[in-house]
Amino acid sequence: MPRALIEGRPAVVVLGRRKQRFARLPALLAAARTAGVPVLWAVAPEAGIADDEAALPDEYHIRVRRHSIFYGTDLSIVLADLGVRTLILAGGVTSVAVHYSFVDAHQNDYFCRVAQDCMAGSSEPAHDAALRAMEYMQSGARRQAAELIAAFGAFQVSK
Amino acid sequence: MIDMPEDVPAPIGDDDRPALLVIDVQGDLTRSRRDEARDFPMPDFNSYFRRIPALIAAARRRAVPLVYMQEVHHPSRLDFGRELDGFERVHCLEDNPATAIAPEVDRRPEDFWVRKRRYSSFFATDLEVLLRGLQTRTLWLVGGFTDVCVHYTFADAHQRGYRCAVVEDCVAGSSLAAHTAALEAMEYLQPGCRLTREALLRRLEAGAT
Repeated sequence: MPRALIEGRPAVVVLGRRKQRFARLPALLAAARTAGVPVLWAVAPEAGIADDEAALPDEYHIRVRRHSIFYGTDLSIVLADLGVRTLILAGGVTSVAVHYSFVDAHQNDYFCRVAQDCMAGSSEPAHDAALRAMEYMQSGARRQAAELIAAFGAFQVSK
Repeated sequence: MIDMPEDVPAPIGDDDRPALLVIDVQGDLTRSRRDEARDFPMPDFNSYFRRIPALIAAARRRAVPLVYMQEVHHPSRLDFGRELDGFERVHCLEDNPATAIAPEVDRRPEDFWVRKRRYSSFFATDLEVLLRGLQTRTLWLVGGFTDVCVHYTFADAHQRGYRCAVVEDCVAGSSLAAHTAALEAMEYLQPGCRLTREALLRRLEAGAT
C-alpha cells in the first residue's frame, strides 16, 4: 500500500556513536526542530549523555543495552506519549542497530524511514544489504536527508 | 581433556541444550513457489526445505526438542500491521490450506507448535516461555525466509542471550542476494554460527546429548 513519507506524527531517533561523522545530520536535526518534530537519542550506558554534544538539553535519551532501540527500553512509552506514528532513523550502524530497530518498529506497526546518507554500515556491502532489507519491509523507507528536510517543512505548514 | 582427531565432530553436550526451531515451513513443498517476474523467492526455494526432514529425524532420535513456528494472518487481514507496505503481498491466511505446516517436516502432537503474526518468532508469542521450560541455551534455525523470519528471529534470540546456529543449506530466502546477505549479517552477530546440515547431522550422531 503506498504511503506518504510522513504518516501521522513523526519523530527522529539518532543512533550509534560517532554521530559527528555524518555531515548531513546537523541540517536534518535543525529542520526537525524547526518543524517541532521531536529528536530522540539512543545512547549506550557507557557513552553517557555528555557525549552527545549535538543534543539539546530537553531532548529525550533512550539508554540502550542491545542492538534494537526497543529492546528493554522505554521507547514505546515515549513514542505513545508523543503520539508518534512515523519513526525516522539516522546515525549508525546501518546493518546492526538501525536494521534491527527498524524491524522492531515495523513489527510494532510504525511507519519507518531511514536517512540513508546520515548512516554507515559495518561494511559497505552490509550497509547496502540492510538498506535493501528495510526497503523490502516498507517501500519508500530509504530516504535522503534532503527529502526528509523538505517533508519536515511541509509537515510544519500542515500542522 | 581427551585428545580427539580433528575430523571427529564435537558431540552435543549438556552445555548446548539445543532446540531445533523450524520456521515457517508451510504449504506444498513439491510445488515451485517461484514468481519469475518478481524474482521471488530465491531459485529452488523448496529444495532447501526438503533437506530439513532428515535433520528433524536425527534431532528426534537424540531427543532434541522440536519447535515449529507457523506464520498466520487472520482472513480479515487486520493483523498484517505494516507487512503489506513493502514487497510482501497477502500471505499465510488462516483459512488457506497452504498456510498449514508442510507434512514433510512431521510435526507430531508431542512437539511444540507456536503461531506468530509477525516476522520474529519472539514477537508476541509464547516461545520464550517454552524455551525457559526446556532450559534451552542454543537455537538451531531452519526454514524461511533466511532474510526475514530466520534473520529477525536470530537477532531477537541473540539479544536475549541465546547461542544461535543457522543451518545454511536448510534455509531459503526471498532472493538469493538477500539470503546471502542475511547469512553474513548473522555471522556478524555470532561468528561461527553458520553450520551445514551435514556438520550438524554428524554432531547429532556423535556422543551423548
